[in-house]
Amino acid sequence: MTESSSEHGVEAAPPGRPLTPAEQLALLEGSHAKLAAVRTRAHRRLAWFATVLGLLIGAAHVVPSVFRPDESLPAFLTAMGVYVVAVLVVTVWYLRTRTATTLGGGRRYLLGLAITMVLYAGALTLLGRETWPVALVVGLVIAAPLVIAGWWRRA
Amino acid sequence: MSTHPRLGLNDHFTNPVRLSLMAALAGVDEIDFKSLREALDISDSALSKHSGSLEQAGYVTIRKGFVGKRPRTWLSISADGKAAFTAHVASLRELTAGL
Repeated sequence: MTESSSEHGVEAAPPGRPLTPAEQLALLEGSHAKLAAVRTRAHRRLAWFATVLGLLIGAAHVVPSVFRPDESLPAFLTAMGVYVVAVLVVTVWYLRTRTATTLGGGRRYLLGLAITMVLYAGALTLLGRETWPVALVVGLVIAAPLVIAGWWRRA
Repeated sequence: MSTHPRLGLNDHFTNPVRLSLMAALAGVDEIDFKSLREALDISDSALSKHSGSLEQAGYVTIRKGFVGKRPRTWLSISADGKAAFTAHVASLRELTAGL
């Protein structure tokens, strides 16, 4: 462990001496690779979290069509119970393992989540009037904004 | 009339650790203390000292929270910090152009 700049690709400057402009630029370029690795890891983690959460929200629309409560209430309640546990597990996993949020990642995630929730609320009017394959397609459409927001990356 | 690029340089960022710290924070919304320490290859105390100085200057925001029962510290760049760092890097490029 050291505060020297040599680890970032610049000749070590004596401690306390301010870096020259050229040394500062070299330091910024030298540290780029390590920071890029941190950002890539953070991006992937958010992307997978958004994907799983988006698909789970989409699944919340599909479950009542596959496990119809009017046909078998226990099956429906079991499926919804599994669904709630899955949402909790994936959320806790992300919160525990998150080490960074990429630039704009938080805002994109919230926007994607908001659109997904609006689509979910809108699709509630279809419940009970659609077959399960149609419900599956609608579920994927509901999940899409959050999944796309998760994987979207600034150029 | 344009000003000399040296006027855009910020004394807070001429220290290599603070410069690296600002560069790291400029690329993320927020990062936890441990990951930042590993990315910068510095000790806990060095990161605490330099991030504290930058927080006092208004360039860095430090947020303390918990994950379960474990305390975790998050760092992010402030709007002022972003503007100052962008101006600093632009001045560096201008000063060293043609070298």
